[in-house]
Amino acid sequence: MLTRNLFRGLFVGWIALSQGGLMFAQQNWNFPDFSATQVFVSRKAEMAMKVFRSGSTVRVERSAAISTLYVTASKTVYNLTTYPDNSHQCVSMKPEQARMLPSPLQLIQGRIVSRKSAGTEVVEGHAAHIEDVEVEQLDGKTIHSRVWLSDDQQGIPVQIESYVGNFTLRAVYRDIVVAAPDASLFRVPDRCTPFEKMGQVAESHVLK
Amino acid sequence: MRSPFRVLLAGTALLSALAVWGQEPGSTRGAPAVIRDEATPQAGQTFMPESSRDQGPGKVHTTYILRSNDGNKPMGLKAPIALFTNAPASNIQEPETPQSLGCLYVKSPKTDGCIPNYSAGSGGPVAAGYGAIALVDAFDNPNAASDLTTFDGYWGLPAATFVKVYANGNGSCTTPPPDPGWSLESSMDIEYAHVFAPSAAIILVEACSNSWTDMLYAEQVAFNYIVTNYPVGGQVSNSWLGGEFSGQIADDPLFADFTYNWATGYSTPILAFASSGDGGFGVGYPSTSPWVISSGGTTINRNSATGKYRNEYCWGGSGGGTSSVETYTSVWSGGNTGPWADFQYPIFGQGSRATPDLSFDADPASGAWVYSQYGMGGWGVVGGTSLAAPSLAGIVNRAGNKLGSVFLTAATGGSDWFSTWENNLLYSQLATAKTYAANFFDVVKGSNGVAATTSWDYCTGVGTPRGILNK
Repeated sequence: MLTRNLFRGLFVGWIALSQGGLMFAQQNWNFPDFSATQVFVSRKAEMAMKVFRSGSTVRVERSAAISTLYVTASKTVYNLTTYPDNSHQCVSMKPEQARMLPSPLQLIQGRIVSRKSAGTEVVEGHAAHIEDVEVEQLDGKTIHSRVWLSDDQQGIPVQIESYVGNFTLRAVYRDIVVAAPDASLFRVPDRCTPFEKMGQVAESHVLK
Repeated sequence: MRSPFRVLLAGTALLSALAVWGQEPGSTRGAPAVIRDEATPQAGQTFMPESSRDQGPGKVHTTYILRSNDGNKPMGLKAPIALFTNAPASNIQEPETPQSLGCLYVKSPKTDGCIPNYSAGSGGPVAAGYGAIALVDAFDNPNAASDLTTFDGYWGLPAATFVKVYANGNGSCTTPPPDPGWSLESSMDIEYAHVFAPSAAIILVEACSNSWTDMLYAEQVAFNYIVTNYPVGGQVSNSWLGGEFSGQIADDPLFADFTYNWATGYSTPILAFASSGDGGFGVGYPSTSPWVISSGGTTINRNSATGKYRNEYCWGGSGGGTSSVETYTSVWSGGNTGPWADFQYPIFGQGSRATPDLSFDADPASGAWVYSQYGMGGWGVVGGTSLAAPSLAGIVNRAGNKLGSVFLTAATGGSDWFSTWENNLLYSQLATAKTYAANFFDVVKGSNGVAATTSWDYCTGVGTPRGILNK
């Protein structure tokens, strides 16, 4: 009886642990931190930008002067600008204030609501397994994405399609470096201007 | 293709030559004696204010020139001759008016009565436009709203929705300090953007200073203001210029529309314009950013007896040339595409960004009436490519922004980055003479150091707008 109860307890515990493990696997990506070139593909042209991932934080460098830092943990987005005189500017915003073109890599960083396998494919020369995911964003919205996770790059995405609003945002990831990017890239400046204080409306009229 | 260095040298030489045109009284930047230029064929002399001169590294300048009877800065001229509705005034005046420019560029230069101060028959600009046009300028214009009110009232234009925004969130200032030179610039910008798109909200965004840092910050404030408050979008006009610099490629995206509106499901379509400069053949920034519509200048020639439109020439002061920084390699392969890379490249090949794209009246000799109380004590006649940029922004606005940008809109099927309208309207028609002639006036006479020629040229780009672009 004692052995039977012990066995039953172990079984229940195993079930609970395994379910928990599944839940954990469902809610987190298990690919390592990395940097890459994110390339938006469209009919006429490609737009390339650097991306850096550290945990749930993503940095997108539109150019050497213009970057955006998505900090999932604090539900805050930061626009970072470097000016020609090498001065810096940081603007902080709530997710709903952020109107920059989203990065598919950032769109898959929230809480994974659902996740299921959708086959395999070779993308950008990498064998990849495909997953359809629904991810809760910083502002509570859920975005559906299809992610091509590399088999030869420790599961780092080589392509993501995010279905936002009325269009498909498709990016491929090239020049992947599997290593934790420099921590300074994710450091939030001490002083950031809140988005709503970027400018000040001095006058507003309908002139007659 | 010309060597970039040759272009730069030629531009620098011309700028140096033109830099001695005049000196604004009371200027704090040195005080050389007033040097007067040669009389222009139509209108006597001109006056280049201090704010339109090269400001040295790290700063930008305005791009307007005043028409002057005596070579000095005109202050508080008599009000323009009032509009006549039954027939052209017997004493036809040369300066352009909202009605004459509206007739020329929005309707048709062949329209009867397309004469300054003759409103009947001209069909000058009627209410049209949408969203907002932001005008980015440096310093404060304390009389901006009242200037626009006076201007609109005098010319019978619809009331404007006007907003003034201080771009002060970067901590450079609390309130931008007032400046007469830049006030004249901003008065002209808001007035002529409103002339061509009376239904668009006019947003004057004032940078704390004319430093690159403050101006580029103000550019972001302008884009954000439209994105936040006008989801249908609009235009951002920049009537200012500085020298090209090696790091400018990193700043190019500040002039582009990399936005997404979660509420509408599309990006907010915003297109930037920039004056190409007033120093003749040569380039500057942000005019060479591949994302902006570089706005060059023309001279409007009229019959001196009847005031009737004759033709348009390349204005000798119109900026234009080849960038030494925005190269095929840096732009195309760097993903830094835009109006130039997407559409000039297929025509011109793997050269560098060339300016201008489009043009508009800019010669002070055929300058337009502007009202600026703080800038010049009231009325004055102003030219320069500063007139071109806001006017073209207004024309494109009233046409429904058909020049497009990096949009994710219903027009692109929601699956592509660019509207094909831009291709259709700006560059693709160069190859089809009949269609091109319907939409643009091909300026083929005059020179800014390089002669205007059939099709695209370094002075006027594809020409001046006509036809469906304005409808």
